[in-house]
Amino acid sequence: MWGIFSSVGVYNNGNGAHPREENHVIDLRNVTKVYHTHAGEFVALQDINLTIEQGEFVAVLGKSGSGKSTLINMITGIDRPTEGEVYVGDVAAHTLSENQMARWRGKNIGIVFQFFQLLPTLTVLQNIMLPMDFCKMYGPREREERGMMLLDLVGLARHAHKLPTAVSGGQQQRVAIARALANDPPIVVADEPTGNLDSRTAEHIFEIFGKLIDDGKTVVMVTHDHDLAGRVHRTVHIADGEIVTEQQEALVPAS
Amino acid sequence: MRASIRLAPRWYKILNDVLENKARTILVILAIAVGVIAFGSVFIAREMAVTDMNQAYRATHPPEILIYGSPFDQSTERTIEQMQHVDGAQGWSTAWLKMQYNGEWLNIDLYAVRDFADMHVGLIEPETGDWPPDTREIWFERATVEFLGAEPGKSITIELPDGTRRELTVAGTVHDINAVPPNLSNWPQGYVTLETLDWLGLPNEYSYVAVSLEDSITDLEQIEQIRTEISDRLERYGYRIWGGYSPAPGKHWAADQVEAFSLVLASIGALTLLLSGFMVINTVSSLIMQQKRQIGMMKTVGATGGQVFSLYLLEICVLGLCAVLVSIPLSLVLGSIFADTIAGYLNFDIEQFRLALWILLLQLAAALVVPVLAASLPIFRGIRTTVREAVSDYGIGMDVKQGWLDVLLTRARFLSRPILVSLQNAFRRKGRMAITLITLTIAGSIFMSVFTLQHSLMQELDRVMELYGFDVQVMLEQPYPIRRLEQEAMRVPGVDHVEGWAFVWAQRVKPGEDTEEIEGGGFEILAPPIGETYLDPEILEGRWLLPDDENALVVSTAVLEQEPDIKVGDTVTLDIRGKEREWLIVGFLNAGPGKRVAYANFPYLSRLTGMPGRVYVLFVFTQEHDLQTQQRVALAVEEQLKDAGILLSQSLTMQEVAGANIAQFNLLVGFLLSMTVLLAIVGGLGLTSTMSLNVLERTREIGVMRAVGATNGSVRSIVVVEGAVVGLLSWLLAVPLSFPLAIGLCTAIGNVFFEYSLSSSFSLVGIVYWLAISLVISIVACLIPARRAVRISVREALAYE
Repeated sequence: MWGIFSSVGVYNNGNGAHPREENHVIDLRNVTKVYHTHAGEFVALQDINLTIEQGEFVAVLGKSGSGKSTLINMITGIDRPTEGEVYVGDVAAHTLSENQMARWRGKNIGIVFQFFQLLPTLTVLQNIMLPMDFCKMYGPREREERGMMLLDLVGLARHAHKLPTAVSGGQQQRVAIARALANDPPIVVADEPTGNLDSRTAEHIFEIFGKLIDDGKTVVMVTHDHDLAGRVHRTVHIADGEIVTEQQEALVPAS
Repeated sequence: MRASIRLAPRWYKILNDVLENKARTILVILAIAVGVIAFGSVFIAREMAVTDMNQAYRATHPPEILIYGSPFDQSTERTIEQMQHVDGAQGWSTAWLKMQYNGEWLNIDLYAVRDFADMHVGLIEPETGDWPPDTREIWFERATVEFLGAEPGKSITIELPDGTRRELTVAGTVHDINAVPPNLSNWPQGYVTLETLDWLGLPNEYSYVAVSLEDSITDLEQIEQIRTEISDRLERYGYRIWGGYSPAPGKHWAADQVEAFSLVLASIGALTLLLSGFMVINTVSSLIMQQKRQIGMMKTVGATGGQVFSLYLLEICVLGLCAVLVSIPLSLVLGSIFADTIAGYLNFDIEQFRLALWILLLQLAAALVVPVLAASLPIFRGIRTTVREAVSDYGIGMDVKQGWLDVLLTRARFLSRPILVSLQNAFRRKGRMAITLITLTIAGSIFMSVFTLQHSLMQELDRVMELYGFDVQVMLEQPYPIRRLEQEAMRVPGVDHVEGWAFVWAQRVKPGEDTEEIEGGGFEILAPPIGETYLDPEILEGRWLLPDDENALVVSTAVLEQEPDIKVGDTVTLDIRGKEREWLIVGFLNAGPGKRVAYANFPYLSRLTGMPGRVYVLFVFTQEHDLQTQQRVALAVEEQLKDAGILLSQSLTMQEVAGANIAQFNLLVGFLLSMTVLLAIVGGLGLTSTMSLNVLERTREIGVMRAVGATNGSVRSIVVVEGAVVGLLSWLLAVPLSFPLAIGLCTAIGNVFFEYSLSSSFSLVGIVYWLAISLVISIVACLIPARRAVRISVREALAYE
């Protein structure tokens, strides 16, 4: 069933090529991020070193303001390090221009946000087709078929032509996951994907992530939920911009 | 599955964005459309009016040369027709008389040719009646029929110079595109045969000859050269030449003025379009700000900056195309109204109301290019937003900085809280505020400039009327001794003073490059009784005439514009009735718009013209200056002179002259004001849009205010007062800006219509009107946003994102 998530390699778009070390799909080296605010300098990340293997399910934990979101923004290229290097697959993400980054990210990283961030004027299906449209992936007819298949996989095919506001929060998050998978990226990054959902819906979302792992995807997830964090391959605890502990978990939830 | 779904999602986004916020979409489409209408309608009107005017003019086989003199006869036509390059010559007899129609006495000019059925130059076209005219019939020019309300079949009474009255039957109407219509000249025109003139006892020689040249002759210099040759030959044959001129070949006499005025109107139209572009900037800036997260998300899922840029640009193009659909039919309607008004006023027909392809394409380009250019900067700035910035921005905007104005307002304890909030809100989005202010300020300053133009035209008219000062002008059939005329006229009750002036047409003669003499432009020499005249000349350089001056000349600025090499102290050679004489330039004066005149001493000029102490024209100055007094005195003076055996031609009152001028000014001002209305509409739409955006962006704040007790009235007043502040500020800024604009407008209009830089005289009326209008526009523009603000519930506001 999950076999459609077939791509596991990170595409190199020709820029920022990097010799891949071992099986690391994500490699953060001495990453520091400093924000300059009216109140002065704020160090969000301090000399972070982190590697994530292909097919690994990693949870990033920490209190509010600890630097969790900044850390995953480094991986997705949403933000850039003040110092240090970020490698995703063969690509030195920190060297890409905005446009290169957008196209590369669209094809290689699927992102899921806490507040779903669906385009309100597009239907559920159109939201899923949008990444394919922008990245020119698949033909027009295939895009529609693939969008419907992804909606079917997250159990929302019958809501395909509704606007996001016409479905529940949990359903919107499932649409957001389907959209994250639109271009079949090898990596999925989720920023508190269950933070805005009730526990039952959160469990359902977590199950979907588990299935992605089964299919060979790499998933990095920021969460406050220690119960969910206990069910991934590895948890990374972050406090005051530094990784304080990394813990290998025993179990991955069954699909 | 629906087939339509195969359209790429980005297209759906464009369409849904356009349809989602209908009010915003309609405002932008309307603003662009109004700009395109303002711009396009002028081009449509100009194209129709100028093309049809010139085509109709050319179809009459118009003359390239007019030569005035007397007495010409049929052999004159033949003499001219035998000359090289001449295609045809048409002699015209004219008579200036008075006519009575429906009990009212009016001036009338009668025109006659040898054979109306065999005209070759300056053709006139019969419209109603049994053409050609017969003896004792009169045919009116169609504009005269409209002016008089005359009906064919009726009789009119003509009064001859000796007071004899004869009846003529109105037999039909003609269209003479070469004639200046009476709504401009105040002079009705009628056409009679030479036999009718004979029957009336009037001379039937030609007073001027209209000459058409071969089609290959289009160079104005060559035409002037031929005119000189014709004049010289006629003089050698013993004819007296008074002057002449060469109309621009193939161009209706008003074509250049219509072209130039169209340019002025098109400039306002283009400005309207530009200001609608400003509104696009505001709307797109707001749209981009609202969709910052969407942009961030699109970039997150793979959209490049170029893709996002083109997506929003396409959205603007869709709005531009919608605006074109609205504006093309409306601009055709407005353009047709403009063209029809011009045609009606200048007495020609618009053959067909039409839209030229090039204007359609121009409108299409304007509707797309202006909004696209306007939107490019805010879109470009929007797409530069990083994904992190886009997805991290939420809640009430906390980026508000406290400026000096906020500090000042906070200290103004006499202001109520809602008013204070309104004032602070008005200055919160400074860029948006600036753009809205610019739009309203420009609209206001142009409006005030138009009023200043009207005021300046009236002032100029008053000045010119004051300069001459007379109330009634009486034209005589032949020269009479001035002393006799004075004695008779002064017997009429209400007459204060009488002056007899000499007039003569003069042509400057100056050496050409090839040492042969060529003629420069012509002008009229007026000779008032120096030392006794009421004339109050405004001397700009040099001096006024002295009683002992002989060949001294004071020339007007309009002559100087034609003869720029003339300086005070120069001696110029003038050809007056075929004789060349030297004249000393002693001064320059301002004689009013376009008045190509020069002043000389009466005794000298009257001797020069062979009429010592005698005049053709009498100026009467009345004790009261209203129209009724002027008309009463004019009739009484005419009666008095006729009783004394003096032969009269026509008379006119200054108020009638002023009335015709005022009607023309009102037409100009009317056109300009109608363009200003469009400009003000764009300003109002811009303010509506700005206030709507402000309300939308402050939804959460409004909700919070309502949560802490703000009533509907408080919320409404916050929005309306904010708009009124913008209106008031725009007025304050528009007043000083209107000064240089008014100077420019007066100069432009002065040059177009009077070949003279009209000095501006500022209108307080315009300033007061615009204060009221800008406040009304501001308040009306805020009504919809205020209603929307009042409808915002606390729950809805706090859920707003």
